[in-house]
Formats: sequence, structure tokens, C-alpha cells
Amino acid sequence: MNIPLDQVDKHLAKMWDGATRHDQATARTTLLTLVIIVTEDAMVERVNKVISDVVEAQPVRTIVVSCAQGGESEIVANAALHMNSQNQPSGDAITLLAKGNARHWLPENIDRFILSGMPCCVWWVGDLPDRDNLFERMVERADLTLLNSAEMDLRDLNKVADIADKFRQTAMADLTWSRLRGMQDLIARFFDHPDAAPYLDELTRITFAFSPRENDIDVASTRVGLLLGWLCHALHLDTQHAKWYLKKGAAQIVMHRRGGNYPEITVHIQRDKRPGVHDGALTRVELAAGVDEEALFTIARQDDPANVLWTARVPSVVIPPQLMHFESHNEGRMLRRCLENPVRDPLFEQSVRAARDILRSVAPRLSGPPSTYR
Amino acid sequence: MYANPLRVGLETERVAPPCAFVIFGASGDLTRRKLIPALYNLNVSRLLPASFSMIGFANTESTTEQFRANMHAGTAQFSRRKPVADATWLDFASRLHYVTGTFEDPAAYGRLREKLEELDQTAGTRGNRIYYLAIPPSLFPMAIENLAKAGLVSDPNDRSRFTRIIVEKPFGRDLASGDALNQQLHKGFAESQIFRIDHYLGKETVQNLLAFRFGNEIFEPLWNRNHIDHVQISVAEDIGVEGRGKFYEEAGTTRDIVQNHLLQLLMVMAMEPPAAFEADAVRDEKVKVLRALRPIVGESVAKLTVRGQYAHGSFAGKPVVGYREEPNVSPHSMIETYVAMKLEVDNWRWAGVPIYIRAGKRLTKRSTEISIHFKRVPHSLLSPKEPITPDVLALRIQPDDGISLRFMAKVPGPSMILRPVNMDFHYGTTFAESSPEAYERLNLDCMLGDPTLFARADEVSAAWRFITPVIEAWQHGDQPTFPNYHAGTWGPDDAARLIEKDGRAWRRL
Repeated sequence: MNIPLDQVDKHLAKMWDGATRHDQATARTTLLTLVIIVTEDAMVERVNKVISDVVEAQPVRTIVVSCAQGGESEIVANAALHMNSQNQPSGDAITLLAKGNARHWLPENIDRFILSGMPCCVWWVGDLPDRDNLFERMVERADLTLLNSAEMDLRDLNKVADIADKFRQTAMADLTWSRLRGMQDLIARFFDHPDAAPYLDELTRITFAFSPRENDIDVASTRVGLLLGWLCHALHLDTQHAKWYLKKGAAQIVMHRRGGNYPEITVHIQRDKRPGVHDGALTRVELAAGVDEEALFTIARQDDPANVLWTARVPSVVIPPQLMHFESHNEGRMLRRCLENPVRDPLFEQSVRAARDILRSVAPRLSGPPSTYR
Repeated sequence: MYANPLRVGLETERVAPPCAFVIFGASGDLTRRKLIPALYNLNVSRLLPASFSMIGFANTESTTEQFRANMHAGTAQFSRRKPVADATWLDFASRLHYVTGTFEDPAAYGRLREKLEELDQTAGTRGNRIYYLAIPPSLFPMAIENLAKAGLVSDPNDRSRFTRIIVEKPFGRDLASGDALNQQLHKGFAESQIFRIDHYLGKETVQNLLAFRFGNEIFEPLWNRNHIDHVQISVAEDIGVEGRGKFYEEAGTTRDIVQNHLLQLLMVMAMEPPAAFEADAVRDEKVKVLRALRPIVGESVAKLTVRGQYAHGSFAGKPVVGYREEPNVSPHSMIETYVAMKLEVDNWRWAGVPIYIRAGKRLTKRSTEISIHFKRVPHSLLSPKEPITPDVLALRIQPDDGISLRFMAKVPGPSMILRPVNMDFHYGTTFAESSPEAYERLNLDCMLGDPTLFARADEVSAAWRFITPVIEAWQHGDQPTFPNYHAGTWGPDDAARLIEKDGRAWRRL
């Protein structure tokens, strides 16, 4: 049953009232507003599943927005309460459907439902538009704009970096970046060890292996791109003068580190299709350093893809290997992590900019021969 | 100091260095229920270094394989992460070792030393050691002396390696024994190497009390004698002594709860803002609170304190025995299972604000909280006939951690009728990620060398300096008639009178 837009708040208040009478302990707590723009009908089911994961953990007001072409221009609304697994209310669930030309009215009509004084997060589900008035107006309103780079092509990292540049008042968050945090931690961990730390300045090779999507023609997955972007940023690698060497099924990049007398670093990107591994996920990361690669640091996904083996080989030093378990990260869990602290993550923005710079020549937004290919 | 450039901006900015973690008394319950599950969880969270090893050291005959199997069972039962995955357990278990030996036998320390040196070579622990004394305090002096004699304690100024020792409460029985224990510890270790655990300080909600006080602007201006009428701190347990009758006969609630946990809560609630969130800055401010506590001595002991002991009663709808009928408890025991006190902190902030504390076993329900009771409005403008109920800010530590604020609201209708309403914040429904156990946080902090959440010697000493005269006065003064409250009630009637004579009442928990 549709509700007139100006009756939504009243309707929700009545439902909270009912829930409170039923259970005196109920408190109407909300942490933020999550606006979800669904660009294709086929994604609605997926979005609902993610929302149920989120409200299980965090009481939020969700506003799910979709559009229908044709018909009389109008926005119709519905409202309900989210209920968690303990059958307690866990936030407001508002849905808005814009028909006909009403898509243009959406931003202002979403505005009226954004919780006052609390953060507003906007999750754009699906492909990032090249130019879209609704997208840009929603990003302008958001404290945090959420994306999922796992569902993008490599060239879309360009777009993400451009958005980060253009809309500096809004923070950006990437669901896949939150998953990469564990991998970054494992890489950093190699160089926490006092005897391994000096080898960070002697890196000569970095190898990424990833499980590609079916028929994917990109040289790397977005995850590889982001991780490479992070390393470029953290190690001050010169992305402007990187040289790419492409071969079938593999790529090499030769780079230099700025600000010192460091050895040349060669980055290898390899395809390694593995059953049970998410498309685009990393299967192996290896860093080699020193003369004749005397120090070798490896993170290798095991037969059980949830487990990775972390090994560090440093001359004259004993560092035992460690088996690490990575809990499954579904989209809902990743979104929850992003919403837990909805603030700007400078490391993500710097990494995605570095990824744009290094990947621009092999994943251009416009077709054309990459200038630095050899 | 080296800073890993790859750590900049990551969630985990502090990483524990390589070390060997030795648990004295590893065959005991604490190791199986708390310590190993905590270390396992740290490992799963990727917070333990690769070069981490743990040695169980106890007098129970066992092999490393048997020890690992026993710890696996304990972890499977008590870890907050379930189920325990085979692959990750096997990896973690490969770091667990066991050395049999009695704590008085110097040869046992020789074997321990051999094992530690072997692990330096095979596991890369680099000479860094942490000794966790999960043994009775009476064995501390022997263990400390033998560790030092066996050359197992490094110089605190040696930057290339570290040795730290973790000790569990009780930190003595009174001021003299507490100071004696500190002296014993200082014979083998510098104060910077000693980590005294009070697991309350490892609880997320206690740390959140610091965040609440010093991360918000709105409450701090009210946090003083001008706005606060009184404070109540309650540590109520619904269970009895749970098979710890022998221990409780020695300790009682005052030594078991008040001298440590409850005074820790008091310090965190009442301390001045430290200059920085650094170990000594925080602990300096905490200890100042204890030093400002008005001593309870002489006649004031009877006026300002109440003791209780539970008789038979009920728990969860079933009959339960009284304290004196518990196993290993004397049928004539005069040990207290309940304490209430009225405290005063004589400083600029708290002068004239009574702080009522209570702690007890076999009470109506389990609840630990600090409640701040604000003063009444100076003039009852809106409700001249009825007194306006003062606002209360309650900080719930356990269970159902959270914060609630009681304030007045108008009842809808033509008349100006006010009633108190509660605004509630629950951790459980706001943050879904399960909080790390206190032992996870504290063990990790010790590996990182951060003593902020551990008690310092002068803190322990100041706590005993306050508590000891009370215990002594109880021993030498008139004895109460025990038992004086039934299991499942809110404690002795005298506790209610203690606060009622000031025109106040205990808050319903």
C-alpha cells in the first residue's frame, strides 16, 4: 500500500508507537540514513538481503530508491519498520519509486526523509554512470558515498578517483576496499619485523596473482588495481613514468621509487583462475627484495580459499609461517564495516588516485592506443 | 624508533613484537577458560606476531601434545569465536609448548630457560619474554626469585629485548602485604616491567567511560559538585561463591571486588582529565582520586560501612544454600559477601558529593553500573505540588552494556504534568561486532608494552591504604549478626538505611 509522501513520518511514528507498546524496552535509536539508489530492478532482491544484514547490526533509516520509466510522473512511497532477528524494530524502511519524469524530483524528496543531525550515506548500486544528474545531486548531499569496486571494470577506478576529486565535501567508501584491509595488514606485517624492515627499501619485485572473471579482458582486477595503488602511494612509487609490458595472460610494470636511491621495482600481474575464489580476488601476493631476491615475502591462498599462508624468508632470521583465516565477507558485512565509521578514509582516496594514474594507460576510459605500451 | 610506512592509515597501527608468553600455573582453570582462548582470538584477529610462542609452565605432569589437546578443548568451549577451525587451531597450537616443573625447583627454571632459548632460535622470539603468574600470590616471591636466579629477566634498560611480568589480583591482603608484594616484585622487576591485571579495566565499557567523559563536551561541565547530588556505584552478582569457598573465606567481597574493581570504576569516574592518553598521565590522575578519598577510620567505620552475608534463599526460581553452607566455608564464617560504603572524595571537583558503593553476591540480579544523580532543579516552576525527579545518567558496565539518561518530560494533556522518561543507548544493538574479551585487550597491551590499563604500584598501595583501616576496624569492632540477608534479595536492611538516612535511596538496578 502506497503512502502519500507527507504521511510517511506519521506512519512510521505510529508503527514505532505500536512496537513500543508491545515491548516497553523498545528504543527508537538510529545511527544514520542510508540512501540506496537501485539502478536496475534485478538488483532489488540483492539490496534487500544486504539491508537485512545491515539492520541486524545497526539501527539505520534506509531509503531505497528506484525508478520506473513511463507513466504519469509521480513519486510513490512506502514505509515499514526493519525488524532484527530478535523481532525488535531496528530502524525505518522507506521505499520511493519515481515514475516517469519524477526521477528529477527525487533529491529534494529524499532530503525530507534524511534524519536530521545524523550522517547520510548514499550507496549507488550497479554501474557508475558517466554523467548522471541524479547521481551527482545525491553525492552532493551525502556525507559518505558508497560504491563497490568489485562489480566495476578496471577503467571505472578512473571514475571513482574523478568523483573523489570532484566532490571533495563527501567522503568515498568502497565495499571491496574494506575487504582489502586484511590483505594490506598482512603485507604490512612483513615489515613490522625488525629484521625484515630494512628489506622494504630493497624491494625489487611485487607479484599479484588474481582469479579473473569469465571473459575478462582487463589486465588486472579492480582489487589488484587498488592494492597496487595503495603500494604506489605508501612507497612513493613514480606512477607517471611507469612502463607497462603486456603479454597474453600477464602484465609487467617497471617503476621507480621517488626520494632516494632505491632499486627498480618490477610489478608482475598474473591470472590464476581458481575454483571457489571470488572473481577478481587475489590468490597470491609476493614481494622479493635484496640481492638475488634474498628476502621473499609471500601470501598464498590455500586449497580452502578462506585460508592464506603467510611466509617470510629473511636471511639469517627465523620467522615462522602463519596460517590466517579470512572470514567470508558478504556484501552486507562489507557495507556494515563501511557504515561503522562513516568518515573520510584518506588512504582509500590516495590509493584510488594512485591506481588511476598507474592504470590509465592500460584501462583508458576512451578507446585508443595506450601511449606507453611496448 | 622504526615506523613501518605500510602501517600508515591502516586499522591496525600497533603490532605486537616477537615474544614468548610463559604462563605459570598453566594447568589451572584460568589458562584454559580465559588466557588461551584470548590468545587464540588474538591470533585469529591477526594481532599476534608470527614469531609468537607460548609456554605452559606448571607442576602437573603433562606433555606438549596433551597440553595442546587440553587447550583445544578449553578454547572450543570458552572462545567467543566458534567453532574453532581445525586449520587455524593447528597453526596456533604449533606455537604452544609445555614445561613441567614445580615453582620452587631451580632445575625447572633451567629447563624453562632451555626451552626459551630454543624458541629464540626456532621460533624467532628474540629474547622477549612475558611471564603471566596465574598462580597463588603466596608463590609469587619464589617464582620471581627463581626467574631472576635463572637469568630469565632482562635489564629494563636493554632496548634489544624485553621481559615483562603480569600478575593477577589479589595484590596482597592489606596495606602491609600489598606493599610487601610490590617489594617482592621490585626485587626481580622494575615497575616498568610489571603489569598488574584488573580485568575490569580491559572491558570495553570501562574504556568507553573514558570516551564518554573526555570525548563529549556536554557532560564534562556538569561533572562536578555544582550539578551532581551524589553517585552510586554498584557491582551486583546473582551467583554465589561458585566453588570458590576456600578463596572467598580468605578474601571476602571487600578484597575480592571493592579494593580493585570497584575502586577502579570510582577512579575512572572521578579522575581529572589527563594531559594525554598515555600510561603515566592516566594513572597519575587515577591515583590522585584514591589519595583524595576521605579515610574511613575509627567511629566512622560503623557509620559509613555495612557488611552482609547471605543466608539461604532463591536464585532463578530455585532454592539455594546460604554462604555458610557452601563447600569449603566455615559454618561460623564471619566473611562478608556484601559491602556498602559511603565515600567522600575531598577535592575541588567532588567536595560534598557522596559516593555510595555496594557490591555483593547472591543479590537479585547481576548488574554493574555507575549512576550519576544530578541535583534537583533549584525551583520547581512547572510542578509546584510534586517534587521534580532529578535526572540520572546511568553507565551500565554489565550486562547489557550501555548508557541511559533519565530526564523529565511533559505528559501530553492540558495540565503541566511531568514524568521521568529514559533515553537508552545499548551497545549490543548499536555496534554489532562482538567486543574483544578483557584478557585479549590486556594481553595484547602487555605485548605492546602499554601499561595504561594496568594498575601501578602506588595505585594498589593507595587502594590498600584506604581499605585496610576499614577491614581492621571490622575485625576489632562489634561483629554483625550474620547471615543478614537472604539470597536473591538486594542485601541487608542496614545497606538501605545507610543511604536512606541521607534522604536518598539505592537506584533500582
